[in-house]
Amino acid sequence: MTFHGISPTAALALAAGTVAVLTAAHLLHRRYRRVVVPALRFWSAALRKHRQDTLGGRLRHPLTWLLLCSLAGLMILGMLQPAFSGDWGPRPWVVVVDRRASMRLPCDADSCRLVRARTLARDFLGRAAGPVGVTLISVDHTASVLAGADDPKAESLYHLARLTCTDQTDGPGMEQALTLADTLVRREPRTGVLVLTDHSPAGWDVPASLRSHLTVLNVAEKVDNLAVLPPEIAPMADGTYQLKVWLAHWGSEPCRATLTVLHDGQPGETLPVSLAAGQMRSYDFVFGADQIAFLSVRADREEAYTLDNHAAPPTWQRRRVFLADDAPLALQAVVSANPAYQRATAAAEADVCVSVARSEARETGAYGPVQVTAALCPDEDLRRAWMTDLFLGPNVSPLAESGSAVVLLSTADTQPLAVRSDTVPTVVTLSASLFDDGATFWKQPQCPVILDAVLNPAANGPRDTGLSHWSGVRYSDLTSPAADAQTAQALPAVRTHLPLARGILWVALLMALCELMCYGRGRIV
Amino acid sequence: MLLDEHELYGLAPLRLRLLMRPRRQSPADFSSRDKGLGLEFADYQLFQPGDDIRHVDWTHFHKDGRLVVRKYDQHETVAIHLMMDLSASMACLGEDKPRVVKRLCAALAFCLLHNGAKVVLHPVGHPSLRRRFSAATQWETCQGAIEALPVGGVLTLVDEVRQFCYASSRRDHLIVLSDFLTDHEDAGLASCLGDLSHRAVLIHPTCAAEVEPALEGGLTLVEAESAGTASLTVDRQVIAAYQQAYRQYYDGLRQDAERCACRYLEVACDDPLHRQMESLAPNGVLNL
Repeated sequence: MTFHGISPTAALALAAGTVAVLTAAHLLHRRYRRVVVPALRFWSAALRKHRQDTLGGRLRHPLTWLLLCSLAGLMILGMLQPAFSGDWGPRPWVVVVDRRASMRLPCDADSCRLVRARTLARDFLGRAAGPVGVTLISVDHTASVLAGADDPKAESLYHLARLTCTDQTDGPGMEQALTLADTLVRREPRTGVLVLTDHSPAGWDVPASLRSHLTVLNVAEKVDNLAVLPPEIAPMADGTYQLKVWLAHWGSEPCRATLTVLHDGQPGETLPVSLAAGQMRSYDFVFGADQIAFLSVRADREEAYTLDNHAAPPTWQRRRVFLADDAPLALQAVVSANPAYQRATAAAEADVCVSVARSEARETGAYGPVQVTAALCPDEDLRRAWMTDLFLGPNVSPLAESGSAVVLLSTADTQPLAVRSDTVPTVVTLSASLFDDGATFWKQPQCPVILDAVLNPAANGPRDTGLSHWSGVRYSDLTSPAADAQTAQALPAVRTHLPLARGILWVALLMALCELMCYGRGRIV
Repeated sequence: MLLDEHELYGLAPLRLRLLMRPRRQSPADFSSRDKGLGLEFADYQLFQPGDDIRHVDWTHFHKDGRLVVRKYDQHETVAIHLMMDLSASMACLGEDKPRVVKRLCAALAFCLLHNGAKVVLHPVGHPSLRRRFSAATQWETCQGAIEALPVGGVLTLVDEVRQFCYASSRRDHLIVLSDFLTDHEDAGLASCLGDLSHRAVLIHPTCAAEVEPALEGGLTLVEAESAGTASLTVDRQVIAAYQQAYRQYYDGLRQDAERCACRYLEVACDDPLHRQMESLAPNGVLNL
């Protein structure tokens, strides 16, 4: 629980003062109604019995005092503005260990890459906060979940110790593991993903929603690594954002480094950090709302042999998408829900303009499947998986043929349903039939992934598109000259607070009304 | 008018029965419980020295040789003092209670006058308003006097009863209608009753607001007569304590009255007049 109002110390002082004042007022002031009675002798007996006129007797009237104090306490609690920020409990992690044939290669005198990966994973499990919350996935030609998030950590360590290499050299295992990790990240946005592999991540299909949570550790290089783990961004009550950056250090010696926050690629705030051997710590920064989209973080080690990593890191920027106001709600939801996108108000300011065209409908009379073209997804297996249960309604209105545009989605008879032009900005035209009530396209769970591929050609296009595609991935071996990127991108994985202040104040108001009614009726004094 | 014709019609059959011992008797209107010099034969009694020899039954002497004297019903004329309490303590719970007391007093006066008794109207705290009525023909005047009695003031019941003890004839009867709440200690009223050598009936009109007061919350209680105040928070426990003290006080008063050969009766103000009179005069006989 976090507090975004007055400081807890001030709240405690205020509560103490208020309770003191209320107690004094309660003792000194009582409202009595005058009633004429025949004789006081009978009431005096009652008076002697209950001693309500004494100092202690007044304090013994519990209802008034409790109501007033609880009312004051609620109001002070409301001033504290508490919120459940989601920071309680250990952060769940997904650890993916590659055990394909290449991991059998020796890396040190007496160990192989898999042993190193197991050691790193075991150290990480030992340092990760909390006894549970680690999902262990091994990768060969397929992905296998060895331990779930609900299993105790001992089970993960047990399976980790028995992990052996396989003879598989390739396969969709890593993609499956990443898809699985993406599912877990969608379920719990605080989840971090750590991949221990010796393969370059350049050929992976990383879902957009996973990029900000992913850390790839290259076990082919030296173990002495400093990793910037996926940062978190949480909004504060005053409109600013808190950036929480996690640093993890693998190595036998203490490490000193400088943590630099980059604003649009330019170094900004720096923080010297010192990490002991095998330590993981978090560091907090506060930024304005306008800066949060252009942030990245870089950790520089201060040892002399450290790689010169002063090259400008790839600056991640949210892709600006222009959508017409009358665009289908499913399309608007996909763009709004994906943190990698930002709605642009004008087409000229956008990186990609999306238009939904409704041409003349053809009398097809039956449901037809939606075809995903190779231009959209070169991987045939993935393409087949995407096309599962994608159908159109009876009266399809395909797009007009355009020579320069790339057809991304089509009908079974190759009539285009989604095309993308090569102009600047990129123009994506979608058939309105995709979003008809009869169509299943926008109702399927793979729709956001397909639309992400449609809107962002770099994400699923040719693999030689450079660093911009992997801007969300930390390849965190800072000592390796072959490392691609050494920065951690702060994606706006924004978590909203659950504000309690308003509810507390409503309760206080109701209590005040009850108290007023009781006071008016003489139930309390 | 305190009583209407219908109520007076219901009161007419009530008869007065005196429970008093004869003192210096002379032939009068009412039959006494004791035997004396009346006209109607009541019983024989063995001759005792000092008995009037004129009442010896010689026929009886001839039959069994014993001297017996004839005894006759004692007839006497008594004055009954109606002592009414219309003080502030009676009036603080509303206008009903003083009116009930006035109506009850008027009903008693009606019965007494129509049974040949003399009625002395004795408003407590107002000695100047004391009136005496000796015939049934004065009923209307008596009723008007009762109705005109002022309500309020401070009760001086103990002083009035003591004054009655010393000033009135021992043959006189006393009927007190009051709540018996005096500013004297409880012993004051008890000793006052102990000094009373007269026949006395204490009638306590009670009302529901007095027995079970509907009070709650923080209150400043003001005593009606002394204007003394006390502040307290009234809840169910306080009400229970009040009722216990109330019951204890009037039970003590009842015991004191029985010890002093007086009668203590409670009359519910909420009951109609005929019900109240039934409680005072069971079987149609007003026992005094």
